[in-house]
Amino acid sequence: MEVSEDLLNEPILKIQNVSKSFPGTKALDDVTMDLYGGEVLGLCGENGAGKSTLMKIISGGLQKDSGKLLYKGEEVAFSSPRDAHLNGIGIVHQEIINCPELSVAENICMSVMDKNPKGFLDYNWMYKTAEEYLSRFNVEINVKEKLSNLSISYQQIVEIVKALLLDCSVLIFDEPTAALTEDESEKLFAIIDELRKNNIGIIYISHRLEEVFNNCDRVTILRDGQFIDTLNIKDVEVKTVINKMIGRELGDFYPEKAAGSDEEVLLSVRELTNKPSFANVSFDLRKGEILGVSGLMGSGRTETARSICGLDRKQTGSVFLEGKELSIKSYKDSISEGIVYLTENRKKEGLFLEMSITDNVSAMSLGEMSGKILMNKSLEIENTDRYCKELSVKYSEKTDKVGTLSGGNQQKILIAKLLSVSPKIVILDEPTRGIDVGSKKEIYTLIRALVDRGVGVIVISSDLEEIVGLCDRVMVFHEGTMMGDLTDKDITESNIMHMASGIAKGSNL
Amino acid sequence: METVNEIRTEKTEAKNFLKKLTKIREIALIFIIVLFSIVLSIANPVFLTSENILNILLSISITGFLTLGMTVALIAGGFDLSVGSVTALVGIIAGNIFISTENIFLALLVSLLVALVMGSLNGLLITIGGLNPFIATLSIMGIARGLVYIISKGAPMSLMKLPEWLKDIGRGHLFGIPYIVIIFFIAAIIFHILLKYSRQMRKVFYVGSNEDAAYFSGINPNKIKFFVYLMIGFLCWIAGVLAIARFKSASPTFGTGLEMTAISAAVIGGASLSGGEGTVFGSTLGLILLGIVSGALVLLGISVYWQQLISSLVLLIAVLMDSIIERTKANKRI
Ligand SMILES: Nc1ncnc2c1ncn2[C@@H]1O[C@H](COP(=O)(O)OP(=O)(O)OP(=O)(O)O)[C@@H](O)[C@H]1O
Ligand SMILES: [Mg+2]
Repeated sequence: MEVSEDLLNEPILKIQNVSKSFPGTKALDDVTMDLYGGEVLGLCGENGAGKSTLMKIISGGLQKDSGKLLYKGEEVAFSSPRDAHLNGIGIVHQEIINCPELSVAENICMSVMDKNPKGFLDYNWMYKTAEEYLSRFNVEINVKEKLSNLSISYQQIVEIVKALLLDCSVLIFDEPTAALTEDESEKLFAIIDELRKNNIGIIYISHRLEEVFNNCDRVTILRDGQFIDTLNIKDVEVKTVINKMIGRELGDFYPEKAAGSDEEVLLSVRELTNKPSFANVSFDLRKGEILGVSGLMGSGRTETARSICGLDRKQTGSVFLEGKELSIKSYKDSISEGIVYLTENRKKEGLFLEMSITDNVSAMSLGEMSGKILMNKSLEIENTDRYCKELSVKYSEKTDKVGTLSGGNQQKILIAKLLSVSPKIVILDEPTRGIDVGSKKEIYTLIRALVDRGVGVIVISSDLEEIVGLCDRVMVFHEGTMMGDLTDKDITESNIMHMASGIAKGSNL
Repeated sequence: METVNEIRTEKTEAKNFLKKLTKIREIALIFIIVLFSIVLSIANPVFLTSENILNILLSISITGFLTLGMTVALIAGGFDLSVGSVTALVGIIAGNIFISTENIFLALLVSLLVALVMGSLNGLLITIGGLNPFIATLSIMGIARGLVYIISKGAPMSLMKLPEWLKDIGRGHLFGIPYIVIIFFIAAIIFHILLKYSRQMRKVFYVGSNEDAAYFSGINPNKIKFFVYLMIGFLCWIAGVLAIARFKSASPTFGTGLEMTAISAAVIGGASLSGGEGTVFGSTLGLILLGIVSGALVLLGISVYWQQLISSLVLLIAVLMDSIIERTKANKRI
């Protein structure tokens, strides 16, 4: 064999017997895997499988307990993310980490400040560089805008662009599309393809297996911190990957749809308006149906939900619960009427990261969990136990801080918090964002069970496949107005897309 | 199956260890306090006499009420710089009204109202006004101290004619323990229980830990914050009344710097400036430690001018230790 070919076939990154423990958890257990230059390697595993932990170790954000990292044939141990950058390893983190008070351009150029041709801060250079990279996504983002004024999807794009700027030989994407729209995701895949052609090694993490199958060359599977298998995408079926991820057969992904909904209306909304977000929204939620809400980001879906719950103010319109008109002035009123909302922004608006699992689960049901003055701890623990079991939350102790749980388990804690108040209507905004297939299925089953119990459920989602698979009826929003709804056979991705982009109207309007 | 069991035991062990780590603060403080006491009593046997210990406890009791309030404010993610001057204002207003009307109830009532108004002002500025707690309470601190000087014209007032029952509270003993000390410790125990177990205080933790998430759980963060500052106003009133009862005078300079002592005590005791953390037990231990340090300086014949420097060093060492422990716990970013 020739030397040059040997070099060509040498992996750019070798991970050998890496282990890592946190207090109470073994996050990685003797993991060995390789990454080649010019390939896109998918990394799959359930929530808490250790994917992010492994990526943080590779990119200098965490230190491994034992094992070896070989990069371009040499053993390395990066002491900090910056150290990893300088050596050509970049990462787009699962959790958006940025400086919300700085401008888009300043955020993008943060880690390449020293590439600035002049010694001092050259804003023109920063603006130009930022614009140039953002143009690849074809989005209109003003680079002078304060980052916190951007939507989550745009903030995610900024994160990605920040990493693209680094000139890496290894680039890691940890669930980059969780907050992106379909369109933006497509752009990202085009960029990833370009990177691959430039012989860059790419690790791609996603719970959307479709993406992994469409864009990766190989897929590595982790389960409970252990390496399970690496497979060529070409020779493998989705089902095999899922089975390896969860260690058993998954069965049907979506629960069976409702046979036909009751006529009984649980919630009706009439002419709800809050300009400029949305106007004249009217709909009924019937008993026994899962009502899906689709639409592009910024189309007014979330804002409508928030107004119904008293989280945002409404200008005009009315909301009826079981035929009775409600006057909801705050979210507290809404909760006591039994209408609850699951936020799409888990970290910022959902979790108390520094507080325990139990504290998080009880946050909404303090009244039920206490006497006149004092909290009833045993009731709290009982309640937490019950829902953690029902939702199969994985944790080591109930006193653990929620911040140490994996993304999917954090989401389950939020759902447990909602269920603790025994709600009548549950509005779920992106309920499965960043959640693994196994847990997704559990959540779908749970949603169906809630509906069967007589609870009204509205699911807002950007994941079209999920909307189509799960919902009995779908409303579509376009630029703050309702385009109508779809039922039965009409619920297809293409119908929804047409309505969401404003081209077609639904049957019932 | 064996491996499962192994993981289980490993987990419970880790759990116990973690529990210890979280308790380490209080244990370490008790350890340090005991160590200090031993060293000091060797240096000067007077230290361990009950008289000296009671003196130290008496010296911290009035500040103690401010520390209780400060602990709650820190947990809510804020703090209150105005506690010292509001306490002084309570004394001066009560003293002034008492001297001119000889009606102690009127004096107490009006001073209570003033304290509550000051607390509400802090609360309103921070919630509706949207000001940073630093700016808001700094302004109120200045305003309260200003009012103190305007009303007192800068002169201390003697209140020897205070009714006997009030003087008794200031100087009385039960089994040799001053009433003031007893009152403080009862208050501290009540606060400790409320902070740990009451619904209202749990909301304070939620707000301090993540205000947005609290809002999205149906809690009104502004209501909670307003309540916190109002309650601090009330605690300042108690402190102010106990101070005039004890000293039988009201001084315009009373309480200067007490806000810093209160913050130091709470932080030494484990409260976090970023909110969501803190216990009354810890804060009280922190306060006792600071009390011992300043008491020791007197006993050892060290000039009082050293006091500020040494108290600050104690604070610095405590928070530094804490930050190092935290970081080794998270074992990252060295
Ligand atoms: N800082 C930490 N402290 C304690 N435990 C942690 C910490 N970070 C991660 N863990 C634990 O390590 C395990 C692996 O977590 P990791 O975030 O790597 O999972 P993941 O595969 O990325 O999951 P997800 O798909 O939900 O993002 C989990 O059990 C998690 O609770
Ligand atoms: Mg992850």
